Amino acid sequence: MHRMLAVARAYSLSMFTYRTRTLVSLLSVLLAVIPVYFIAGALQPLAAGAIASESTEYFTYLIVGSVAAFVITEAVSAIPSLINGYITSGTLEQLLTTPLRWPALVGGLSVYGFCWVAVRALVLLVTAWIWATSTIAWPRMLEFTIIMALLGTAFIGVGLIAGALVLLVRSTLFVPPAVSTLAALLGTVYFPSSVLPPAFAPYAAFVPTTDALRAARQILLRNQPLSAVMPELLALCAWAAGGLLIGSLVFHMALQHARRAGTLTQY
Amino acid sequence: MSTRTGDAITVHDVTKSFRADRSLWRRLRRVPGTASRAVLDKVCVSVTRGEIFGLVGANGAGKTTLLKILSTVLIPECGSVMIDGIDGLADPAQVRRRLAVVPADERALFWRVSATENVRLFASLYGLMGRERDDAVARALELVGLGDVGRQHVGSFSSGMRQRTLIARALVTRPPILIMDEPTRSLDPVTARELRRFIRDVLCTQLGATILLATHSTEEAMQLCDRAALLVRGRVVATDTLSNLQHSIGGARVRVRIDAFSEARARALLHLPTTTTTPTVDGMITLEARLPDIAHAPVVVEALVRAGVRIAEFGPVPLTLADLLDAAAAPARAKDDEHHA
Repeated sequence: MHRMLAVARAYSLSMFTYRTRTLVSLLSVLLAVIPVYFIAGALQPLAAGAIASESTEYFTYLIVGSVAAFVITEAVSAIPSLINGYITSGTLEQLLTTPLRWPALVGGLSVYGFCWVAVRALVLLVTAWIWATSTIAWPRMLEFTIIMALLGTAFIGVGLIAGALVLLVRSTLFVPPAVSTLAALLGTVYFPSSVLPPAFAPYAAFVPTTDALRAARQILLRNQPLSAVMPELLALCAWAAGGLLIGSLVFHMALQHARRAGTLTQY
Repeated sequence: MSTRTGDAITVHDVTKSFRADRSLWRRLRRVPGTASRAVLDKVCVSVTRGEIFGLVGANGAGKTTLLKILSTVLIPECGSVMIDGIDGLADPAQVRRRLAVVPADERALFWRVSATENVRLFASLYGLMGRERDDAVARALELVGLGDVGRQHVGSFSSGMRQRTLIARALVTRPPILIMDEPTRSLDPVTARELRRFIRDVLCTQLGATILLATHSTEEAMQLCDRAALLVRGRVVATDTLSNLQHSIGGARVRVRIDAFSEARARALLHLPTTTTTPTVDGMITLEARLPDIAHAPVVVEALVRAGVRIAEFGPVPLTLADLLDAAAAPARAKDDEHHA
């Protein structure tokens, strides 16, 4: 654990030095809320019926969906992107000559990214809370965080597979953007699954985002306890365990292959 | 395989090959020329405890590949590697605790954080914590002369300081074995000389570390290495002290100053190409030739005199590493030429 924290510390300190980028990123989150607010307001009469079971207001429905999109994007993209950069600089190989094991390395490198997602999500939720007419159940933040953490864990498997692809062929083969787009389109991030074309609607049930967002909106926008979303929670746990297991196996095998093929560094 | 008691590193029959072309697209299309090429071929090396051992070879000879195998980031096809008595292929995790690597590439540092943080990270990765870790970090930085600039970002350092940071990072846990890949590659001559002195006096003599370093620098190999292995196209062609290697492989090199009119005769006697000419200074020219042994020098002088060549000066020239590598590679080159013919 202390090795993971050491990696997290070094990486975070390095990232903290990008002050302008951090500020711009926060400002862009704030600015992005403005069009969402007006578009959601315009579509409210149309969307009200379809989202009624999860939220009374389309704006907050979209905000919670956007938080999930942040989590998914970070989970699927961060690991392959970092692995790629560290292969190019030789840092990956250097770190692997030490007693550091890869789960601690990947974990340590992911800490900062997810903390940053949490900050941006909080900014988004606070902005929504100020503007929205409906309320956000702040006392339910812990349950909401658990749901989002499980969602991130479910998709980290994809991030590990994409990282494995980088180790093997130096490309993610478009896996992260394809997965995050599909997860957003089918997983009720921007609209409920009931408005999907009949040919696609059944697939929504096979995307962890659907369960996560149903639970997250019940908790945060309808002030429901965790026990009220137990089926979704269990499904999400299964997704998280399966995703992490498969992703870890694939990444481990890819690392072993890279040690044989000499692809841990850029020649 | 037998391991001598005093050996810190023993490499036996290690063979490694890489795909000639790593492009996935070309491999899928089965483009010719994407097959494997051997980088190391049955390499055997033994490094005695406490010595500085050089892996000497031209670019692409396989030095870095061998270092990567020793540092457990690369797995060979066959052969065995023993580090400090531990099987490097069966128990790489244990090996990683006993050695530290100083890479050639300073980009492997975290450039946007301080030297202290860079060293601290590695100290933590090797299991040091709290006060013990902080003391070790301060000691390592002090040792490499960066004690007073430890708080500065590595990005603001010169190449020499970054190289020292890499060494401090490797030294922080005082590992018994240090693996250094071209440690003075990006340094100016003065800084390189200082660093070599540091490696010899502090790392080896004072701290007693066993050092395996890869280099293609003449000065580095001559000044640092107690013994060296000559790597030519993935094969160890000889292992000995540098001076013994010079005598056994390189032969001797002599310089002779003669009158310009005798150039053609002298070139013929010294087996030098006759198609080129040497610039004349005050009617004299200087030629350099390689002899199988310095003992042949009187015979050569006698032959020149007998041929009517007026000799103004005749003497030995120190053999460079390039000469040595050239001489070592000659048999392999001849074999290739024979094969192509």
